[in-house]
Amino acid sequence: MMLKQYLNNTKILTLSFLRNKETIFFVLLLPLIFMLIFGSLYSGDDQSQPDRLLIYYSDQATIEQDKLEEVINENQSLSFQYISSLEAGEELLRNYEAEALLIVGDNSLEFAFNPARIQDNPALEQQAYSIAREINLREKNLNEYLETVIIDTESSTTAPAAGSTQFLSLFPGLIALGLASSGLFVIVEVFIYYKEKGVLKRMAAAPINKNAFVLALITSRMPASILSMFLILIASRIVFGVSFAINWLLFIPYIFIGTVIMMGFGALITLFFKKADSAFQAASILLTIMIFFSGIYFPIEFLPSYFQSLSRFLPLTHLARALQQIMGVSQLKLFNLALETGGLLIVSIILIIIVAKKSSWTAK
Amino acid sequence: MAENTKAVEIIDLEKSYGSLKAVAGISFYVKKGQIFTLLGPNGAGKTTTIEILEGLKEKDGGEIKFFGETVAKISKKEKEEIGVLLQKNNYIEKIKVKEILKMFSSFYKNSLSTSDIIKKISLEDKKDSFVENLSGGQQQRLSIGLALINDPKILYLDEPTTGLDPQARRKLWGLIKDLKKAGKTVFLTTHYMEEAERLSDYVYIMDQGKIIADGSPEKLIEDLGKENVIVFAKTGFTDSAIEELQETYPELKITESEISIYVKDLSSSLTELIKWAGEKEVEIDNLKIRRPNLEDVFIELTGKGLRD
Amino acid sequence: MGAIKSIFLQHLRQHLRDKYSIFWNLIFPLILMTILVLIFGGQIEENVTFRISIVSPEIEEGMADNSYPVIINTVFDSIEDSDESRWFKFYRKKKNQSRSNFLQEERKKLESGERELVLVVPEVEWGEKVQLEIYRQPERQLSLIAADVITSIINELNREINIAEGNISRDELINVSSREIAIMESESRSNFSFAEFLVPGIILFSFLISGLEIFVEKISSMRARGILKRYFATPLRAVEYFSGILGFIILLSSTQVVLIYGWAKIFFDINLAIFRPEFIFYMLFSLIVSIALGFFLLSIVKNKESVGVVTQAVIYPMAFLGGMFFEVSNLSGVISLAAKINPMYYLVNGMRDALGIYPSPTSLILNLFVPAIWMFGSIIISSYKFSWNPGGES
Repeated sequence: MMLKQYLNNTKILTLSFLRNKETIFFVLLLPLIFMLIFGSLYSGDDQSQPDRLLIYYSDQATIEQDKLEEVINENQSLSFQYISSLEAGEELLRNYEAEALLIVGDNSLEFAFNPARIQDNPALEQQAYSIAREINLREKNLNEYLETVIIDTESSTTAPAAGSTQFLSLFPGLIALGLASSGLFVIVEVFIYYKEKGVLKRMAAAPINKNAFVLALITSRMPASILSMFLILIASRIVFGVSFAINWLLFIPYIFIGTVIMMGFGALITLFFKKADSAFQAASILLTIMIFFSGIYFPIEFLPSYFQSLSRFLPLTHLARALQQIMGVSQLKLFNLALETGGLLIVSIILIIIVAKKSSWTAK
Repeated sequence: MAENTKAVEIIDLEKSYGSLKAVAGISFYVKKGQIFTLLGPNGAGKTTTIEILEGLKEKDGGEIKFFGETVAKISKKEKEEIGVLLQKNNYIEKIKVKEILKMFSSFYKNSLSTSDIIKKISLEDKKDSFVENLSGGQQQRLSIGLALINDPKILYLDEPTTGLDPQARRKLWGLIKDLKKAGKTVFLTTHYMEEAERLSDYVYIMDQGKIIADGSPEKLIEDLGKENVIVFAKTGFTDSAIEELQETYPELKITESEISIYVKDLSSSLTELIKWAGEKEVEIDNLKIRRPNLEDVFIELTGKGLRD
Repeated sequence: MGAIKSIFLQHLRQHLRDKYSIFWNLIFPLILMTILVLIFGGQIEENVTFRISIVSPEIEEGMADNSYPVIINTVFDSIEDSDESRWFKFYRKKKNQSRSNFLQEERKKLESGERELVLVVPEVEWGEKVQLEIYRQPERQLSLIAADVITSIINELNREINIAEGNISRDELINVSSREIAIMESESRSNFSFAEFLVPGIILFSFLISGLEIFVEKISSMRARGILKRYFATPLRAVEYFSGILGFIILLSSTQVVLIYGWAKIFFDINLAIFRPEFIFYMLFSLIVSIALGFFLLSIVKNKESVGVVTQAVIYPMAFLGGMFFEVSNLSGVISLAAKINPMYYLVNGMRDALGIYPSPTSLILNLFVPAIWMFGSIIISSYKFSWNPGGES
C-alpha cells in the first residue's frame, strides 16, 4: 500500500518536475552553458595550445640565438617567433596574438606581458624565469649547488587528466551545481507553494501516507540530477576531450546524497520564509551567491579569508569538493569525505523531517 | 429515525478561531442516499463544518458519528469512504488528467478504474491534457472525478458550482443528480438557493455558526406561509411612499433595487396595490409575480439576503 | 504626457516595492564586481599568506657558518625579518622533536590544507650537491604558487653561492626582468587596473539585464495576464506606454551607473572619466541595443514561461562570452564564434576604448556596426512579429 503510493507519487512528481521548462533550463542547460563558457576560458591553460612567445633581439644582444632556442624548445608549452621591432611586438600582445614578449639585450632578458591577460600571466612569468635560469646555468657554466625536487603529495590514485586543476575542477563543480538546482527548490515548492495553493489540503483529504509522499518527493528529483550529471560528463568528453577517473561506487550514491543535502538546505530556507514568492527568491539569491563563493568558477583561495570562511558554510562548496575527490580531480580522503558527507546528510534529513512534520497540510 | 439510515451525524459540534465562534454547537444528521445541503451566506460556518467532516479540521467540542460509529475525528480509516471536493481545487502542476486520477487512486485501498471515471465526468478527449489547461467547468468535473475515485459512501461537495458559467453549472447539477441515482449520499454546501432547491432532499440553513431552519426545500417554503411574491423596482419610490406602503404591507422586504411583497391571495392584493399606486401617482416598474423560494425563506429568517 | 508619466510611475513604484528586484538589479552587479576584482584584480598578495614548514637539520653549536643548513636558515630568517614577511609564515620543528616525526606531521598538515608547502633541507657537507625537497599539494593553487616562489628563492640562492664561490661575477649574470606593456599608447595612464577594466563591463551587464530581463519580464507578464489588453482598451497608445516604461528603464540604468561607479570609486580606487561624450554615447547605444534585443525576444517567444527561460539562457552567454568580465579574444573554436557575433563584445570593447582603459581589439567600425546590425535586425523583425497581446491570451 505504502509502496504503491510511493511509486505513484514518485512518478507524478518526477513528471511534474521534468515537464517544467525552468527545470530543464536550470538543471540541465545552465550547467552546460557555463561548462562551455568557463571550460573554454580555462582550457586556455592546458597543453592543447602552446603559449606564443615573441622574441626581439636588440642590437646589444649577447645571448646566442641557438642557445636560447634550445632552451625554449625544451619547454614544450611554448612556441615562438622572431619579431623585428618592439612596437610590432607590443601591438601583437595588445591584440592577443601572442602571450609574452621576450627582449634579449645586453646580458639581459626582459619579459613583457599584457596586463589584461589576467588568467594566464602568473604562469607565463614563471616560465620566463625558468628560461633565464636555464640559460644562466648553461651559458655561464654555473654550478647548481642547491637542486630542488618537487614532490606532489601522494596524489589521487588516478593520474589527473590533461589540463590545469582549475579547468578540471570546473566539471565536478558543475555537476554539483546541477544537483543544487535540482534539489534546492523542491521543499520550497511543495511545502510553501503547494500549501499556498491548497494542493496539499486536497491530498490531505485523502487517506494519504505522508511518509510515502515525502520519500517520493525526495526520489522525484533524482532522475533530473542523474540526467544532469550524465549530460555534463558526456559534453565534457565531446567538447573538451576530458575524461575522469571516476570512483563509480561512490559517485552514483553521491549524486543522490548531494541532491538530498541541497534539499535540506532548501528546507532550512522554508523555515525562514512563509510566502512562496519570498522563499523562491531567497533560494535563488542563495544559489547565485553559492555559485560564486564555492569555487566552481573561480578559485576561492584567492579570496580574502573572511570570504573563504563564508564558503565553508555553503553546502555547495562541500558538494563540489566531494565530487572533485570522487572524480579523481583531487585526492580522495575517504574518512574526511565520509564524515563530512554523513554529517551534512543527517542534518539535511532532520531539516526535511522538521519541515514535513511542522508544515500544516490543511491550512490554506 | 433508525440509526442505520444515518450516514453522518453531528451533535453539538463546536469550532472557534480565537474569539470567533465559527460553528456554535450545531446538530444534524445526513440520511443515506440523500442529497443534503447546508445553505448559508459566506462566513456562515459551512466550510468549517464540512472540513471537520472531511478530516481537514478538528472539532473543539461535540460529537461526530460516522455511519453509526462515534469517532473523535475523521481519520485515515474514514477517509477511505469519503469523497471530497474542496472549495478551491489546485493540483500539482504539469500533470495530465489521467495521471492525477491515477495518483489519487493510489491513495486509497480500493479505487475505481480511471477510465470509468474519465467517462463518467465526460473528459475522454481531455485525458491527456494538462490539468491547468482545462476550462473552469472541466476542472470542476475533474475534481468530482477525483472525489469519486475511491467509490465513496459519502461525498462532500463544498460550493461545487461557484465561479462556473450557467451552462457548466447545469452540467454539474446533472452529474450530482446521477450520483444520487447511483445510491451515493451527497453533502453539499452552497450559497445558491436555486442550487439547493433543485438538488436537495433536505436543507439546513446556517447563519453565524448556527442552524436557523431545516426541512425539505418544499417544506421550508411552505412554512413561510406565503404563496406568492409580488416584486417591483424600487426606483420611482420616495421614502415617504415606501413608508406608506409598509403600513399597508407589514411583510414587505426591501433590497437595494427591489421591493418584494409576500401575499397569500394574489389577485386581490395585486388589484389593491395598483389602485394604491394610481391614487398616489407612483409608477410601478418591472412588476413580476413569482413563487417564493429559499432566498425568501432566508430573508424572512434573518432579514438579509444570502449574497449580502 | 500624463499617461506616460503614470505608466512610468507605475513601473517605478512596482519596482521599488519589490525588494528582490532591488537586490537583483542594483545590488547584485556590485557583488559580482567585488567578487571578480577580489579574485582577478591582482590584489592576491594582500590577502595571501603562504604557510611553509621548513624541515632542516638540527643546527648544532659549532656548525660551520657556511654549511648549507645554516645558510638556508639565515636566508629564511632574513625573509621573516624583511618587509616580505607578511607573505610568509614559516614553521620549524621544536627543540626536542625528531626530524622524521616533524616531517610526518607537517606533511599531514599539507594534505589537510593547513600548510601550503613543506621544504626539506638535507644534512650534507659543504661542496656536495644538495637536493632540497619541496612538498606541495598540486590541487591547490596557493600551494603551486608557493612552490614557484620558493623555487625562485632557491635559484636566487644558487646564484649567490656561485658568486660567493667566485664562479662568476655579478655583472656576468644574465639580468632578468619583467614588465607590463602600456596598453593605451596615447594615454598617460600608467598602471593597468582590473577594477577599471571591469567597470564598463559591469555597467554593460546591468544594461543587458535592464533590456533583456526587466523590460522583457514586465511586458511578458503584463501581456500574459491581459493587463496590456485592458490598457489598450483605453485610448492609451502603444507609443505612450512604451515611452513610460522606457523612462523607467533609463532611470534605473542611470541609477545603476551611479552605483557601480561610486562603489568602484570608493572601494577600488578607480579613476575614470565616465562623462566623456564617447562613453555616454556608447552607454546610450548599449541601452538601445539591449531594449531592441528585448523586443526581438518578445517577438519570437510568446509564452511567458518560455520567455523567462530563454532570457536566462541568452543573458549568461552574452555576458560571459561578450568579454564583460574578462578578455575573450583568446578563445578558440566554435565558442569564439559565439564571442565574435556577440554585440556585447563590441560594445564593451568600444566602452573601454572610449574611457582609455584598454584599446579595443576590434576596430571602431565593427564596434558600431555589429551592434547596429543586431539593433536594426531586431527592430525589423519586431515590427513584423511583435504583439502587445499575442494569441489573444486572456
